[in-house]
Amino acid sequence: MVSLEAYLLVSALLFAVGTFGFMARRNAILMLISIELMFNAVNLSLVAFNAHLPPDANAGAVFALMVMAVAAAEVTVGLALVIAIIRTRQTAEVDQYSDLKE
Amino acid sequence: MAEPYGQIARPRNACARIDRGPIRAGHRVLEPHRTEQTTLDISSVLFFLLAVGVVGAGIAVVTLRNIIHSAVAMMICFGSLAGMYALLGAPIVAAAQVLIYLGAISVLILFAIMLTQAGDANLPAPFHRQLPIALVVALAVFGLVGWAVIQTDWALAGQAVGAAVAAIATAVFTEYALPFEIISLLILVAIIGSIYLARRPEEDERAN
Repeated sequence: MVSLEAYLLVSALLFAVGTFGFMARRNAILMLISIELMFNAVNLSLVAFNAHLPPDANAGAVFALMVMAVAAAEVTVGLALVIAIIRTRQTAEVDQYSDLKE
Repeated sequence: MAEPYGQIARPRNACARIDRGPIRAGHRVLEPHRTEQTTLDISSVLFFLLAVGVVGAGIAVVTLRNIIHSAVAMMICFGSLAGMYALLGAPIVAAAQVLIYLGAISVLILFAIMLTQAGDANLPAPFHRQLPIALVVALAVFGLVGWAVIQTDWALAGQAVGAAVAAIATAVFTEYALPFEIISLLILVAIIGSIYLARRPEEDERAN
């Protein structure tokens, strides 16, 4: 059997990779993909905790399903926003969205 | 469940109790699951392969230059995560992962990439100039969370047990009925909002 710590370490690593992608990449769509990676990391830790709870408790699995639904709603609105921005600015690079700064 | 097992010589009936199912709250031995890691069984091998798939594909997502390649790596990452959920004994979550992430969100992201990327060969530089800060923050996040995970004594963590699909369904529609309904409202709002945002402005004027 694989221990709880192993799953949690994989989850932490995936979350860190998502954080890095969100902060380091210039493409707006790839920033959304990085947010999805972070959602998935949290989901993995939720399901891992749930599997190690007593068998009659299944809050973790229910939470994971609800996180998935919220993530689907989030990525829908996020991609619509990104496409609207790209349509007006003609670029997907977030460091060129500097209208408010100038 | 009161008798501590593992430290004393187990009587015959204690073995019968263990055969029926893992004892959870009665764990007196510190981290009994750690001793079982030394044997190389099929679930450990599967976990290792899936973990390499998840983390490797995740790193590929954030480092690959072409965003289409990143999206394909993301699909590999989500598929490996579905396998990990199945390994954890949550088949309904694994099925939802395949349906929602591999089926819906990946296609949505691929469509968005197809609509927005000009297919020119000269790709822009992938990384922001705050790359070093991002690296430091990501390493700090992993270090802190990993340190907390290793430091914590998961005394109650026994062996992994699968969650029954029927029990999850009952919980969703009884105990968690209110969040379920709120999520349906949220998805309705998201649909309306994304339709509004994705509409071209000139279509408004043509309609008037």
